[in-house]
Amino acid sequence: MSLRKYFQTCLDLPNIEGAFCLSKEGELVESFMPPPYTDDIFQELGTRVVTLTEAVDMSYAQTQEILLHFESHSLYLRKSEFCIIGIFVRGNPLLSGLKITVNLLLKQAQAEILQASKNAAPRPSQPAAAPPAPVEEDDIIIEPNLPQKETTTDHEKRGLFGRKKEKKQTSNDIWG
Amino acid sequence: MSNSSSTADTNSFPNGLYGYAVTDAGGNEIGQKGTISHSVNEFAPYFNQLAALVGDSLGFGETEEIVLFGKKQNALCIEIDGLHYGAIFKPKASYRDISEFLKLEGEENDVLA
Repeated sequence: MSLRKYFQTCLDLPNIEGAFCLSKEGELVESFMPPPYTDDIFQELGTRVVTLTEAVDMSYAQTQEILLHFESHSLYLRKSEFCIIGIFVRGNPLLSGLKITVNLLLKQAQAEILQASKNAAPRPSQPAAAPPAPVEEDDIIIEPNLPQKETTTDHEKRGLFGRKKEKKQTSNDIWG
Repeated sequence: MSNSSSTADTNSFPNGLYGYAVTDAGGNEIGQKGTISHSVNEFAPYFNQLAALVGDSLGFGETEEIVLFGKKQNALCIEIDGLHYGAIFKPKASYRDISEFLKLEGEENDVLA
């Protein structure tokens, strides 16, 4: 289900050119960014936005709202418990109106954003490993020189402190 | 710019500005006026760098400023001529006034330098 109906109020505000919603982890939930911005930018942008918000929280103070000014545009970031909303504005935003609208959006669309966040595909942290090449008969296979694993019997022999357990040879023959 | 804050220094401040600090790109403090808290002077260069990365993802070459809206106070980080300005101000103060003030201070410092 699209979140557009919730974001439309924001998008209708003057000078608002686009908006997006990221999960807490920075994965794209939904984007309403204008062309030429495509969803591909969010692989990088999502990570950078999360890094910025977390760095501010950790090193400065808990901050729910951040405003970034660029040459001709601004980006208003609003962090909530379950997502990060970004509003892309041409020029300087009317901040008071924007804050109220985004607060309303978060209140009305909480359940839908949570559901959409669950459906958002998690970003792979590492590229998938290539399948192993088939081994041909002529190939020389060199086994890695791994240290020999201890067997349970060795371990038992070594005892609790790594020393070989040597049972004291005591003679029961105390009387000689 | 001196490290000590005097009444004369803060008299010229716009309404709501507690103080600001100037650091170089390496985080070394060059000067301070008024009262600075939350070590924003130390983190201003880092926040500016992170903001520049976000701007880069959106295709912008330069980030002009970053405003952090807290519950009790706001902060503004801005880079002027390679120096990083970090200011702390009241939530009700206008961040635009603070930004304009810092830009003027930056120009003055540049001329003095």
